[in-house]
Amino acid sequence: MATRTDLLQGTLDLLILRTLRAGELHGWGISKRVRSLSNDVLQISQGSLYPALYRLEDRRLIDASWGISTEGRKAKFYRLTDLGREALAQERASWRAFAGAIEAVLKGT
Amino acid sequence: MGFLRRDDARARDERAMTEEMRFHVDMEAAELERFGVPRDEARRRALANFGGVRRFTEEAQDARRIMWLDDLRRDVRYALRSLARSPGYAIIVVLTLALAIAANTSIFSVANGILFKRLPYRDPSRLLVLWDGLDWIGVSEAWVTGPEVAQLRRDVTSFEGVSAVRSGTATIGGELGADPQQVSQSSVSANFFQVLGAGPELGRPFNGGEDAPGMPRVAVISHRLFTQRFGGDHAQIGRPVLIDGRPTTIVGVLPAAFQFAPQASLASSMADVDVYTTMTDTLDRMSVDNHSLGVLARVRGDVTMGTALGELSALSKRLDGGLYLNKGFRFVPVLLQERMVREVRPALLALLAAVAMLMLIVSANLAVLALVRGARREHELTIRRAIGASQSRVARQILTETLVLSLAGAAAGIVLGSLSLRALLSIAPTGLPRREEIGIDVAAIALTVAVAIVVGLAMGLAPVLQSTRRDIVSALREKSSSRIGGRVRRALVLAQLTLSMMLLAGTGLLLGSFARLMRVDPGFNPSHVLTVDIMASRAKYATGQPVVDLFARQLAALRAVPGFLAVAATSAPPLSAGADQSGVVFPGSPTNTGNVDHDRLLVDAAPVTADYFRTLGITMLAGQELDASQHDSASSRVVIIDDLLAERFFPKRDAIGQIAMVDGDSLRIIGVARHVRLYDLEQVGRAQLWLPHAYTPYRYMSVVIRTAGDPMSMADAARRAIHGVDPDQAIAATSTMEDVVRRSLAQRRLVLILVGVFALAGLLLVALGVYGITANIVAQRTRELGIRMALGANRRGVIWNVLGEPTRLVAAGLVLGLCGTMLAGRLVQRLLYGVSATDPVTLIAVSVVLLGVAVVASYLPARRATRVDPVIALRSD
Repeated sequence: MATRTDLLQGTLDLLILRTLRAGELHGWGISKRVRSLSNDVLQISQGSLYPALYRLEDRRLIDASWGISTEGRKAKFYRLTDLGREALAQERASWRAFAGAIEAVLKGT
Repeated sequence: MGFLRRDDARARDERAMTEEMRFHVDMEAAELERFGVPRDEARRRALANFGGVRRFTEEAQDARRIMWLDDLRRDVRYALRSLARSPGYAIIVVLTLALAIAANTSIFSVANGILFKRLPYRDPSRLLVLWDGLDWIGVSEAWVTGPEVAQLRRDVTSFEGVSAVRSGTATIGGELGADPQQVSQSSVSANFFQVLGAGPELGRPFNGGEDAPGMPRVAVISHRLFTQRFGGDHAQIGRPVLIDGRPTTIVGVLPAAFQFAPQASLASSMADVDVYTTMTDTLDRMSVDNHSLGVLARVRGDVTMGTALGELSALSKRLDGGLYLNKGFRFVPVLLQERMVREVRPALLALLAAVAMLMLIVSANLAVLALVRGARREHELTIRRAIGASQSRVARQILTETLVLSLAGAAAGIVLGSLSLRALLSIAPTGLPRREEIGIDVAAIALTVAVAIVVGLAMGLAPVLQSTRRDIVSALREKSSSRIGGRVRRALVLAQLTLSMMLLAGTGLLLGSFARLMRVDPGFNPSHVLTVDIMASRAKYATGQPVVDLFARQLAALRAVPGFLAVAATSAPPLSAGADQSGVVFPGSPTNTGNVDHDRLLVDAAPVTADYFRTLGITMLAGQELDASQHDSASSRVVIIDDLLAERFFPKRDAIGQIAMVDGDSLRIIGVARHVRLYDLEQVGRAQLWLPHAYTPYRYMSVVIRTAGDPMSMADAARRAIHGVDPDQAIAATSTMEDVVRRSLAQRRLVLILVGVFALAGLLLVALGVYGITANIVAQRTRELGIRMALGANRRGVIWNVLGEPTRLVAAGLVLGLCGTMLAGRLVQRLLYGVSATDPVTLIAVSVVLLGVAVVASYLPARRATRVDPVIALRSD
């Protein structure tokens, strides 16, 4: 498996929200999507994924319902709520600010 | 399963969560398989991957959100669900705990009410009871004389107040046709209620000066007398009643809970006083030889106890150097609280220790149960750990479960405890001190909850140790319970064995003491004896001959009743502790040295009538007993002494006809009788002598009647005969001598029964523990034993093989228990009679009992081992 980069605290939520922007996915799909979007660099450990999903659900940022997966199995699907969309925009802005700041520091030396 | 974070606002169906997890793991495994990983390996990796990180995230989450309360709620819910799945276990645990906690709570409530709670008086830690220490005549706590009380008031400035108390009985009513009633009465100094710091709830206490001679007579009465005799009629306050034939005004009524009993055992306190009157004697004018007053003193609030005691001992020295001629006189101060509980303390402490031991045995038993349950659920726990639940998480869940159980047990225990406390109080001897104050209170409930929490933790700890110490891989591999669990369990059973041995030893020693006491020859024959306490009215019968004649008439009337075989009277029947103390000198004794302190002996003295010894079955060893010829003070200058006196002063057995100087009067010895136990069955007590009633015309006497049939059934006949002589005659109490004997053993019986019940319960639990251990060994070794049997091992060999370990365990428990008994021996020594705390016979007998029970408990499952069918055993896993 590819190198793993530990996810910064708080970035997991951002990644999940971003992944769900395209449409609803089940937990396994989210982790797979993150892995492939990041070219196998970012790997969400499943153990943090589900708690994060439940937390987001509790905060009404995402919504969940049971459906049937493409493999024909019962699975739980998550989708963004309006609140989640707002949060995604906000998080994305703050992440960019943060990443830009880091980049500036790194260039500075 | 509740191992995932879940918000309470939207509780998720946990099965759905599991399903989601399973889906994920399946997908992961399928993907791995697609990459060419073999199916089993793919599954394992997917599972491990999931679990390994799971633990990390859980901890991270725990740190991020301080939601222990939330966790707690979830854990409790989880515990309830998992318990609901095994209701049998839950019920057994809760019931066992409830019973043990009920025992614990009720015993503690009694102990707390009696031993530890503040007395219901103002600043009770400053109340002292004072005695005269007259060590040179062997009396360390004698009553105090009047002049000494006066001197205490004058000289000890650290005392805020000093009150004299003299207890006795009085007749209330009578004369005017109202029914006369015999009541217990104390005459006290007017400042008594101020010194005590408690007083009437209706009316007023005594005013200063109301104890001066010639003042109108006033009384404060008990709540009981107020409601029973006066119907609680407030108008009675301020009205005169006849007390001992003299008009006395009731000025106050005490609260129902008021109690003042400066000495008490579990079995008897000084009877609750019904009437307090003022003591009108001029203390200074009382005799310096008359040690008759109880003294209650209150130390001033602005003075340290040390200063007060210093002042007191200075006065002791002055008195010793003066009147007491340096014989070593001292005042003996005792804290009232200490004095009140002195006789009870050892019994209560022993009971507390016994119930605590039972509680520990129960806890160990419950821990074993939890352990077994843990072993059964090992698979579940292992999986939960495999998928990442952290050790602390699993531990917390197990602990939550046991805590839920133990708190449920505590709740049931408190309910049961208040019931059993009521039952306990109803079987407790009537004289139990501070009875009114005993109840399940905050302290008892706090203790119960604390005990429950400790038990819950202890219960949970064993399976936690077992589950967390094991690594997951080996746990997944084997099914049977682990070595560590086995060791914890063995340690628990060993602790049980030790404690049970101690409890049994305690019971054995108490039982031995009790049996010995039952065999004590009290010096009289208590069967078929009725006692009736009567008092000659002061108004009708002035002192002297009229009183003697009244009793002579009463006894004659009683003798005429069919079925009454013998009738007599005394002021101090056996076991009543009712005698007076007199100094006696025998001028004709060959053992006299000329030293007054050596030759003069303080003895118990009591007036008796003719036929006394025959009625009570007291053996006359020499001479004869009193007869009708001693009918007036002139003809009755005779005395009967006991064998203790006879042997000490007349070793040549020539006491009859000798002279005894009793308090200065010379009396002729006409008989020697067997010594009678006058205090209780345990103490031999002082030497005794008996004087003719005609010589010492006491007005308060116990009539003793030997009856042909059941004595209590003849009580009415006795009452009728007495009222036939004088219809106004007050009768204080009727009882049987056998009841008196029983009452004197009441505290001992109560302690014995309770400790015995605790010990039996403990033994039962130990038997279960040993049984369980052996059964477990057999279960674990089924395969091995099967092979042994298949290879031709004989039954006995297999049984011995299996029994080896439980036997070593029991032996270790016995040895530890014996050591414990030796160490704790001092605790029970004061409760023992005629047995040492290390009595080898008792300890051996108890060891045999415990060993026997353990052998049976381990033999049963061991025998099963030999019935193992080798074929089945070999197949079993």
